[in-house]
Amino acid sequence: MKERELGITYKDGEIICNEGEKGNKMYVIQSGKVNVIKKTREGKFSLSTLKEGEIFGEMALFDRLPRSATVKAMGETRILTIDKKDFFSWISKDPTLAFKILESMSKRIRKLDEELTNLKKEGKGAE
Amino acid sequence: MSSNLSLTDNSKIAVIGGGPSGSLFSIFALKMAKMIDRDIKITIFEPKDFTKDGLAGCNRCGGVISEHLVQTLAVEGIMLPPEVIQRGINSYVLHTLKGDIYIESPAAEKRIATVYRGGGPRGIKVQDRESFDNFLLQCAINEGAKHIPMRIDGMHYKNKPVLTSGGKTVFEADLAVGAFGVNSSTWKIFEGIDIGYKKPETTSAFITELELGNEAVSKIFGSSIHFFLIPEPKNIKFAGLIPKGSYVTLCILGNNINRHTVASFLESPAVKKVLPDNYMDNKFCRCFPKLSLNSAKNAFADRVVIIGDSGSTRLFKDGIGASYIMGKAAAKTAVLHGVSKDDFAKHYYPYYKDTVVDNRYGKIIYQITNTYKNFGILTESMVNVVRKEQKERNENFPRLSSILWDTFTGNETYRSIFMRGTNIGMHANLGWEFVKALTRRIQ
Repeated sequence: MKERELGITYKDGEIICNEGEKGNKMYVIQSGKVNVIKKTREGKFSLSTLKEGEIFGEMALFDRLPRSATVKAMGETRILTIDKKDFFSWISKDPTLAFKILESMSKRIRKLDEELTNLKKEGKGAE
Repeated sequence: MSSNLSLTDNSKIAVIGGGPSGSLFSIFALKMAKMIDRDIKITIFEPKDFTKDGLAGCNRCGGVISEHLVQTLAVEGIMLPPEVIQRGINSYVLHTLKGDIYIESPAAEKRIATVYRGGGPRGIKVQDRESFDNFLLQCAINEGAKHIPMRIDGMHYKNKPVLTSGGKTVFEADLAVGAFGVNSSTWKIFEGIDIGYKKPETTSAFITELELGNEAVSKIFGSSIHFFLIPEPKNIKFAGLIPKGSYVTLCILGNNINRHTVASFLESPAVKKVLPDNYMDNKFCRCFPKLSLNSAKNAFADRVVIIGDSGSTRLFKDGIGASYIMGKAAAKTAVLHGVSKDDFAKHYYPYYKDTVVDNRYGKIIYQITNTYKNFGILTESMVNVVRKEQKERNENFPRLSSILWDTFTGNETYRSIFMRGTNIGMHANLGWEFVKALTRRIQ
């Protein structure tokens, strides 16, 4: 089936993009899973796991800031990349192409809201 | 801003044709309707069973999904499964009488997919494969469209388009979408409803499937599509060998391709060098499909819009990419604006016209390519420039290589390719190689 694959294949643990580096492309997971890891003073924390069909790396395209997290392949993973220049050129012709990205970002904000609420609840309980 | 003819809850859309244009229209119309909380009903009328092998299930095309379309579909959430992809492509080999050129994707990544539009070549034995057209149709069904395997053979107006089949009324639509190709006879229905529709002019191409076996296809072709820019036969613009699993699709484009043209092409040394002996067999599919040469006249009216090859498509390349653009433009217009002639003129026609204008640039590009193909000294200059560019590959993808890449992959608009072709540096390189080639000839 190798000849039928699109994109680039990453091996288990291989880094797809690094926290802090400049981002000039975003990624769509064709198959497999990826782990999103954030570095802190206390160590590295796994923020989330993304699966087939999900998009990542789009934040650095929109805010032009360095990558906010490192993304690693979990098992063999196939990734299709989308170049920044191409993407913005397509969106300028068809703004609805950004709907899916907005949907994905909205889901993440909702998830963050839930996690923040839980953390606040835990904090109050501890008091 | 909505017109007086707009879709409301329970509005009924009839899509005549379940190929990529019809399916993509349905997918986007249903997605957008859900976004604005509108409950529309879409019925796709498609009599063909795309899972069938041979001509019975096929929509007759080379079956190459461009880099641009693979990426945009992925962003839209439509992921091509491995069963649909017959081979991932990351490079092209251009064969000329002055040598061969290997051009790798600017991204060095497999972003082009080769697919079967139907169930594959007649008598195909491989099981784990799926038709591209069937995959998209299933995506439309999953989105909420209804598929009726029925041939629509008539339509008339009774305030709204009324569809008939076998002389019986089968559907009254708030919008009728003609999503048919130039190889179908459905155009007669639309020419008969007095909206002034006139189908595009066509020429014939040639497509056949050659069984070489998976190992041979991998060894000879790998992840590359092979293109031929050879001066004889003169009526061929270009030809391609497209690897797909155990088979290779031979696709010849040009003016009025017939059996003699094909035989003469296959006898060419450039082709014989690539293909192994005894590859031809009558059991495989072969067809002379029609290709659009221009766009249709009056492709929309109140409650009627025509998309697909029988509306406006890209010249010779990326017809499926054009289906995506036109299908989505028609869907956006119908759901977000309205279904009157004015709505389509304001929101659909700009995309339609873009393709018409772009194809004018395409015609010029093919004329230039033809000139380079027919004059040995020009072919030699082009080959030498590209070889040099590929050797000295740096971060900026070389100019002539990227122009050839985009021309053959259909990845960019013809206008963009044409504009990049005006680069003085590239012409200086070509001119220098021309002088060197001329000097070699004089010596």
